[in-house]
Amino acid sequence: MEGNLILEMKNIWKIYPNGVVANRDMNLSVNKGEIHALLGENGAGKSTLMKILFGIEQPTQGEIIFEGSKVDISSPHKAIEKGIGMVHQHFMLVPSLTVAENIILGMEPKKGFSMDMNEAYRFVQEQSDLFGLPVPSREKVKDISVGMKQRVEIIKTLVRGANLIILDEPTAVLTPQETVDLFKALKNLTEKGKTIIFITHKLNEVKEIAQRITVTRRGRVVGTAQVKDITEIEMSNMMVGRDVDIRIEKEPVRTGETLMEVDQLEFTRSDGVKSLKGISFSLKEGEILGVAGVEGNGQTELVQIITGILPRESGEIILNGVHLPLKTNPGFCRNAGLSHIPSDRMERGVASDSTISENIISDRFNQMPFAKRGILDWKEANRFGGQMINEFDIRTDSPKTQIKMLSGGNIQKVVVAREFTSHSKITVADQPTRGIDIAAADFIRRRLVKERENNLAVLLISADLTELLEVADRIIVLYKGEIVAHFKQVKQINETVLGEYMLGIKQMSREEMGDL
Amino acid sequence: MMKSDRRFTLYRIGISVGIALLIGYIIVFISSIPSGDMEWIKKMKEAFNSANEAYKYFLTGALVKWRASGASFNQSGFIQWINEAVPIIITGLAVSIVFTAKQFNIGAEGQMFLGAAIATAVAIYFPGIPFVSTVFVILTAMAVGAGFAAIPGYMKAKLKASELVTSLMLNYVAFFMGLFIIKTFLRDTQAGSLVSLAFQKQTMLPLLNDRYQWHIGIFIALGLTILVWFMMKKTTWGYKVKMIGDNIKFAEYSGINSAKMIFQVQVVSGAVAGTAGIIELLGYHGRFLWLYSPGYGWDGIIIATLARNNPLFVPLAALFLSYIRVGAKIMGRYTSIAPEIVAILQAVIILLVTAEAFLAKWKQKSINKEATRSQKMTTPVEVGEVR
Repeated sequence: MEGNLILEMKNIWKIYPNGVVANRDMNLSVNKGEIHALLGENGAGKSTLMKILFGIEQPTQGEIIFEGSKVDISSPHKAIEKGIGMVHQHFMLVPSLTVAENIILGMEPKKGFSMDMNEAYRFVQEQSDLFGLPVPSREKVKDISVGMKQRVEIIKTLVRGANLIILDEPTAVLTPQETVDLFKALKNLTEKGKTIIFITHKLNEVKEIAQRITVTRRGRVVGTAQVKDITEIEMSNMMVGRDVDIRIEKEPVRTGETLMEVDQLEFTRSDGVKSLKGISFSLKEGEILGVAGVEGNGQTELVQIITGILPRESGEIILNGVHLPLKTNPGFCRNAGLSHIPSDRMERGVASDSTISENIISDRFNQMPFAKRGILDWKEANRFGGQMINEFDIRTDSPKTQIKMLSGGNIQKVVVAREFTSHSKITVADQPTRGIDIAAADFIRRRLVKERENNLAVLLISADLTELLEVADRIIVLYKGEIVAHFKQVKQINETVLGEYMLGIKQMSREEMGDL
Repeated sequence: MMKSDRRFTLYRIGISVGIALLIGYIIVFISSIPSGDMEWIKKMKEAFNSANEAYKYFLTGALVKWRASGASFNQSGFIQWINEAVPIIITGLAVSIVFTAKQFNIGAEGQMFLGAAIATAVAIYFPGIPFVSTVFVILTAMAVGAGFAAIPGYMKAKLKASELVTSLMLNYVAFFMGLFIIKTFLRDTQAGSLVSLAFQKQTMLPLLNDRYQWHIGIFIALGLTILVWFMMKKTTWGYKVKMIGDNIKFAEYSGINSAKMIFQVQVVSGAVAGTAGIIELLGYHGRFLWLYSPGYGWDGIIIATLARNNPLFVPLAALFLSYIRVGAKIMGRYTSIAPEIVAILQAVIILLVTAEAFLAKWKQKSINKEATRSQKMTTPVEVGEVR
C-alpha cells in the first residue's frame, strides 16, 4: 500500500477571520483504495481540514497534492471536477424532488429542450447497480429514510466522478442497523477502487471499518497509524490526551412526586403527517427518563410542545402542578419550573453576536440581582458570567467574549450553565452532547446525573444510545409518533435491542410496557 | 480580537471617507477644466487651481471665513453646522433603535413630518408659556410619532406584515395628511407661500445666539442621545431589544415576548423620530414651512448605518454629515461647483462602509499575523487533567 498515495495535504494552516486557528501545520496522507479514518474531538480541526480539501474553505498556508500533482482547489466545483466528493452531515438534497432528480441535478440528460426522465431513471438505476447501492429512484426525497438519503448523497458524488469521497460523521444520524448497511456499502466501494475519508469521533467504528487512522487534537495532527496495530484505548488517549471514562457512577433511583404529566398528546404537522399519536407518560422527582428514536419520529415536536415553543393539537400537559394552556409560550413553561437545553444550540440556544454574560442571564435578566426596577446591573451579570466560566469550565478569558468566538463544546457549556442554574425542577435536555468533545460531553452527563441526585427530574432525548443507556433510569422509544417500548431496567438492555424498537421491527404491547 | 475588530471598523470608515473625498475631488477637477482655446498644460493648471479653491471652501468653509485680508472664524457657518445636525441626530437615534432589533423603520420621515404638522397646531394655539408650552409641543410631536409608528408595528407583530413595506408606504399618508392639516386649518393667508401661522414667541426654543439663530436643539438632541444610550445599554428593555435583534428564536426560547417587543420598538422609535421636525421648527423657522419632505428620516438611516447603531456614535455621524453639507453649500456660494456633489460623496461613503468585504483581506492578513505571533508565545495547553 505504501507509495500508492492518492492524496497528500502538507503543512496546512487555517486561521479564520475571527482569529480562531483551526488548523496548525496539519499533514495528512491517504492511500488509494483505503478507508482512512480522521479522528478527533469537535474543534480538533478535522472538519475544517476536509472543508479545505473540498474547496469550501481556503487554507491560509500549505499545499494539496492529489493524484500526483499539486492542485489548487478554490471551490467545491473545482473539487468535484478533480474527482473529490463530499457527503455532509446535513444533507444537501431537494426534498420535493425524486431521488433520481436529485442525483442528476445539474447534469440532466436532455431530449431537445426538455429533460429526458426515462434516461435519467435508467442512468440512476445503472449507477446504483454498478456501485451496489440500491435506491428507490422514483420516490420523493422527503419520503425516504435518513439512511437512504445518505446513500443518495453518496451516489450523487459517485456519478460526478468522485474517486475520493469524504464522509463527515456519516453515522451520527443513523440507527445501528443502518450503520451496518453503510459500512457494507463503503467496503464495497473501496473494492471498486474508490478511496474514502471517514470523519468520526466514535472509536468502535474506526476499529470496524478503517485501515488507517489519523488522529487530530487542538488543530494539530497527533499521529497516523495502522488501525490493526492500535487499540481503542490508545486511540482515545491520542484523541484527548487522557483515558476517557464513560462509566458514570449513579446511586439507585429514589423517585418522589410526579413533576411532569403528559396525557394523550396529539400533533399534526403542517404537511399533514400526524407526528404525535396519543403520547402519555409521566416524569417523577429524582429520575432521568430517556427518549430514544430515529430522528423524525416525533421527538422534535414532543420537546417543542412541552417547552412551549409549539402549540399542541390536543392532550394535557401538567408541569410541576401547572396545567399548560393550549396557547402557550416558552416563558410560561419556564415560570412553571422548566429548563430546556435545545437540540440546536446555534438556532435557539444562544445569541451568537452577544457576550457570554448576556447569554447566561437571558432567562433571569429582569430578576434580582441582575436588575432593579428595569435597570440592569452589568457588573453583577459579568461577575456571574465569570463564575459560570469557572464552574462550567468554559474555555475563554472573559465573560465579555462574544459567543461566536467560542468552539462548539464551549458554546454548549454556556447553554448548559444557564439551564442548570435556573433553579427549575424539570430539565428537558434535547441532544445535550451532540457534536461536542468527549470531555465536555462527559461533564454534561455528570451534571444531568447530579440534577437527579438533587431530586430534580430530567427528560433526556438523545440519538447517542450509549449515552441514553448510561445516563437514563428509564427509556421510552418513539416510533412514528407513538411510544413503542418502555424499559424500566436500563442496565439489562443494549444498543441493539433499542435499535430494533427504533426501527419498528419490534413493538411492545401495552402490558409489556407497564406504567409509563 | 475585539480590539482589532473595532480598529478595523474605524480604519474602514476613515479610508471610505478618504476615497469619497478623492472621488469628489476628481469630479470637481473635471468640471473645473475651462473650455476655450488654451494650451493643454495651462488648462490643467487652471483646473487644478480652481479645484483646490473649491475644496478649500468645501472642507473648511463651515469653520473658516476666507477673506483677502486673511482667514477668520466663520460663526454663521459653525452655527449652521450645529443646527443642521440636530434633526438628523434625532432621526439617527430613532432608526438605530429599530435596527438594533433587526427591524426596519423606513417610516421615520413620515413620523417626523406628521409629528411636526400636528404639533404645529399646538404651538400656534396653545397659550405661550415659556418652557411649559415648548415641552408640551414636543411631547405632542412625540405622541404623534409613536402613534403613527404603532401602525406598522402592530401590523408586523400581529399580522406579520413586513414593516419595511408598511412603514415606507405610510410615509405618503403622513406627508399628505400633514400638508392637508397645514393647508386647511393652520395656513397663514397673509404669507406669500404655503406656510402655517407663526408660532407664539414664548413657545420657541431659547436661543444661544440671536444673530444666526443658534437654538438649544443641539442640547435636546444630545440629551436624547444619552437617554437612548441608557435605554439601550443599561435597561432590561434595551437588553430585550438587543436579544430580539441578535437571535429572535433565542429571545423567545428565553421567555421574551417577541411580538410585544417588535411593537414596542417601533413605537419608541416613532416617538423619538416624531420630535425631529418640530424641534427644528421651534428653534429656527418659527412656523411650519415644508412643502416637500425634508428627508431627515432618510438621513437617519444613513447615520444609524455609519454609527453602527451605537447611540453614542450617532451625533458624530450626524455632525460629519452636516459638516460636509454646510461645506458644500459654502463651496456652491463661492465657486461654480454645484453643492449637490455632496450626494455623491454620501453615496460612496455609505457603499464602502457597508461593504463587508472592503478591506477584509487586509484585516485577515493582520489577524493571521497576530494569531501566529500569539501561537509562538504560548505553549499548547492540554485538554483537561485526569480526573
